[in-house]
Amino acid sequence: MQYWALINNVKVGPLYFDQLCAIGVKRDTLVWREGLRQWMPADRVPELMQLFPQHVSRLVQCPPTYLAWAVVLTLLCCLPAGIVAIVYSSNVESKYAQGDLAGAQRASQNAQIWCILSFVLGIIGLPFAFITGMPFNWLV
Amino acid sequence: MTAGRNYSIALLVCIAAALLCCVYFYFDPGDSAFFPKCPFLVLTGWQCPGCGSQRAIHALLHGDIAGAWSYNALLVLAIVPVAVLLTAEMLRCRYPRFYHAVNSQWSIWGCFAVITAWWIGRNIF
Repeated sequence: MQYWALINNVKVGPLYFDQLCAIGVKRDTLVWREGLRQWMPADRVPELMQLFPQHVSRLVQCPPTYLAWAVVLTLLCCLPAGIVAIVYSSNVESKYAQGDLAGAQRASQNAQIWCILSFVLGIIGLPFAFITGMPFNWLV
Repeated sequence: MTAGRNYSIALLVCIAAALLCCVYFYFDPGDSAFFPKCPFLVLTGWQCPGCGSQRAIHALLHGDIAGAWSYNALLVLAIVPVAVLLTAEMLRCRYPRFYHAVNSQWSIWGCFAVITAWWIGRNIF
């Protein structure tokens, strides 16, 4: 299959798939091949979508930061684990701002894990806190 | 996270919060031995950012803002920002821009700085 690409308003082609990759087609570069009714953005051509692995995730907004849960858990669960979650929350934002979606998603997962960890440790700590906390009754 | 899962989490949290509010309204955590103590405080002797939250919630439910302030000032200050954050969290799919604005770099580092400062400050002063 041979392709033509429109780069800086200049028709380039015919190109084979590999050559198309090599000239650095962007997702919005207009491309045509036999079988297409008109020029189409490269990321709309089915077999070219794989060139743009972020095609799907670009459409999804920034992954969740879990900041709300992290703050609530820090204030209510009595464990500093929530603070780690807040640090990961900020990583989500900064990675997303840099365009590093995979990194943002990893940070988002970590933030979620630390939120869950904070909550679970809080629950596990309950019986322990009941027993050991008696003398500190007035403190909490 | 899908919208459906978001709503069921919100519902669960609301039910749990309502139940806990009842408990904290009728029982004073400061008077009763049946409320959990902060494990961090017991282990280290230092107060964590959340210490005093239970008594502060009891005071707040009885309209005693000054009392709540003295138990955990940050909890009182955090009510409005946390309400905004949770709303943004629930409406993330519908209003991504609002979510993005609320969860900006500034607000996240702000939360981190305020909580850390509160944590250190309350143990020093």
